[in-house]
Amino acid sequence: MTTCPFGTRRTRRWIPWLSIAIPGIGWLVFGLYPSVATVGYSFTKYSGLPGTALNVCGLCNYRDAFTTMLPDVAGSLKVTIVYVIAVTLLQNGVALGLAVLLKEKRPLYGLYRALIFMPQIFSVAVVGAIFSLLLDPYSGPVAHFLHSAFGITSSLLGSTTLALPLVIVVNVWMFTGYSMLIYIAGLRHIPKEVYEAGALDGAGRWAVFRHISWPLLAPATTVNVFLTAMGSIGEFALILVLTNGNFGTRTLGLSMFTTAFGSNSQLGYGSMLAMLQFFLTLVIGGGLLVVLRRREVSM
Amino acid sequence: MRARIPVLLLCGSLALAATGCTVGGSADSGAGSGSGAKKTLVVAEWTNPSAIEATKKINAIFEKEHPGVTVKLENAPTAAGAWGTLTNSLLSAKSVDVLAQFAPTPAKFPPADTGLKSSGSAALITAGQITDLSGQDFMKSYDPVLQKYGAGYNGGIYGVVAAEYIGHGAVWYKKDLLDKYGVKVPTTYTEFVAALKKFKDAGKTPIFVAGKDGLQGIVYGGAVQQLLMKGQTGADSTAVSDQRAKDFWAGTKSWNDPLYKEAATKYTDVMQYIEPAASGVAQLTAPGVWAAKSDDFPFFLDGSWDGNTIKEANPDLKFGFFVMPATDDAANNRIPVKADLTWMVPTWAPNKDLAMDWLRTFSRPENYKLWLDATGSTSTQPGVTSSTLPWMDWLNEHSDERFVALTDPWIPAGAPPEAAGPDLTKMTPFGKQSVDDALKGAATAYQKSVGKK
Repeated sequence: MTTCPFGTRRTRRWIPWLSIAIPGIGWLVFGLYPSVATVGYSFTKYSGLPGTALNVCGLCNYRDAFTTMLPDVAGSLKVTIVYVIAVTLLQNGVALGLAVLLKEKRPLYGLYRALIFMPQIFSVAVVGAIFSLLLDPYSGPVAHFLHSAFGITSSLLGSTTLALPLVIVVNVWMFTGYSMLIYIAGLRHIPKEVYEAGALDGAGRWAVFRHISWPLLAPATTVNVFLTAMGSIGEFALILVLTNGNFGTRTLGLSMFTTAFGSNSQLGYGSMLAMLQFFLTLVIGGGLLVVLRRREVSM
Repeated sequence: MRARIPVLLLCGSLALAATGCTVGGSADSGAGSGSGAKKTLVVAEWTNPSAIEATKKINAIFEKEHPGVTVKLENAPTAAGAWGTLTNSLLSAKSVDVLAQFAPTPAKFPPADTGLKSSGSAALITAGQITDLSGQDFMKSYDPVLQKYGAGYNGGIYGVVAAEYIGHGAVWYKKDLLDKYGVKVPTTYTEFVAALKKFKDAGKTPIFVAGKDGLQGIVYGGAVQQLLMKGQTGADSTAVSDQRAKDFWAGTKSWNDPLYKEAATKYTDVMQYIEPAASGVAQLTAPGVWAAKSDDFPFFLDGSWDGNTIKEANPDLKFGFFVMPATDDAANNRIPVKADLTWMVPTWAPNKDLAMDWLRTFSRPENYKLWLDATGSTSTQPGVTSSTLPWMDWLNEHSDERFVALTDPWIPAGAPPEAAGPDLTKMTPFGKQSVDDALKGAATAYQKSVGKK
């Protein structure tokens, strides 16, 4: 019998299966089971508290969402779509600009990139608390600056016109570093020869960006746009901490969270909202992939 | 053969790790009943720094009286769903003996014919997860009417309502500032508005409020409570509350009725006197900002639970508390008191007998008094006077004018916020909606959410 570092040839055959089995079990327990359970709970009036009755009710939650609760669901959906579009465009625009500025390997550029990426590693609760204090109309520095420099008094996060844009800006501030790194990787992947050819043709900076960098960044753009859109569809934690969904910031994700896990939780109805969010993600995510992939091929 | 042993050991260890087992060692008994002499009693309470400190002191007394028992206090803030998550985790693991919950009140037990299901602690009670405490000796120390209202269900009492607070109509004031301008604590609505005008004319901003977290609702809610109780006795409040829920459900009453219009109109009148950027002020910072500014903001809209926070922010500030008068007949301007923290014992509590002992210790007058003084709660034990904290003077003087706060009508899960009354973030002055539009919107939202429209 031949032996090897991990047993015989016969036992060694099982090592790869064992390696797959462990994360596989983790995925089954912490990934698949909650997903399937959410589908199941969406057909119940379950409170979500362990030991209480499931109260299976079929399609009752879906019926309510499209009849009696439709104005609320439609309102949350509208805010969600505005939020996703704004965050995706702004975050990718800012990240691309920063990537173009900071792609080179120069002194201190590494530090700048690290500083821009840093908010990504903060917890949402910390970011929410910091911005709540910064944007407090009485004790926050932003309000003091606006008042002393321009004589403006604003309730900032308590304003129905400013609350949603401010939450969007905080979201972009938090996650732009990640998108920037993907764009930098994309930019560094573009062969220098292409730029040299452009220079020989007399292309200026804008022409180089428009006709060389931007088309060749298509794969990085696909990844960034897709990840940003998918991340912002489900966003609720930042909004919860900053505005609690008031002043026109109630997204579908926040409605889902407050219904499913609030002080009077109704996990059944909340799960139904999670399913609606899932279908929204499927439609937007699928649509984006199709469009962006086609763009990659055409370029 | 020797080579197979490590592989088998590796496989075995990994499999055990994956199933959450441990190899060679005993798990900590934790909250389990445990067979040894040492036991751990788990008490869970949401984070209110003063209450947590007081509970820790009571835990120390309990541990001293019960050698071998350790009390583990679990806590999490109510903000951002943290408390709900902790509660669910403790309930799933069946690892809690005494659990704090908000008093369910009848509002959380909608009749079966509504088709609505209970939520929160009411769902636990209806599912048989919570112990009926009505036969326990320590329950005799508490006001039976309040206990029945706060935690009663089908003849049983499923918790000890330990705290009561005033939220509706709650107003803090700066004693020195009122004295300086010759303003007395108002007893009628006209007096209150006159006081606000006097301060405004003197160049002050009369009211400070954390509008970002909805504390402006104190004015509207307080007015609704007093107007609904007009001409009723304090003892009628539970019946008034119950009847209102039935009338709303039947569609014979709505948010568009004249009473709610009067309350909303008074709300918009009072809101003329708030600080300009009130809608952006958070509840977290508001007590500190108000306390620090001793020469302005004579009034502050905030619940009675924040007295200690104000005191900590400015120990030199002389401040008091009263309930906003919403009518011009002082006799009608009574105090709506809301049942709050309620201790519950799960039926499966690992240390049920110890849990009852802990509640017995907590309920002893000297310990309960200690807890009241720390939390600023009003007493739910007739034999124990309410907090003697200096800012509680007005409340103690008017203790016979209290009534159990009316609860909201029954509202289905997922209903928009307007279904529970006008959305004050959308209504003037925070939003652009007029009083009429906001009330009409609320009435429609309620009727739609209960399927009547």
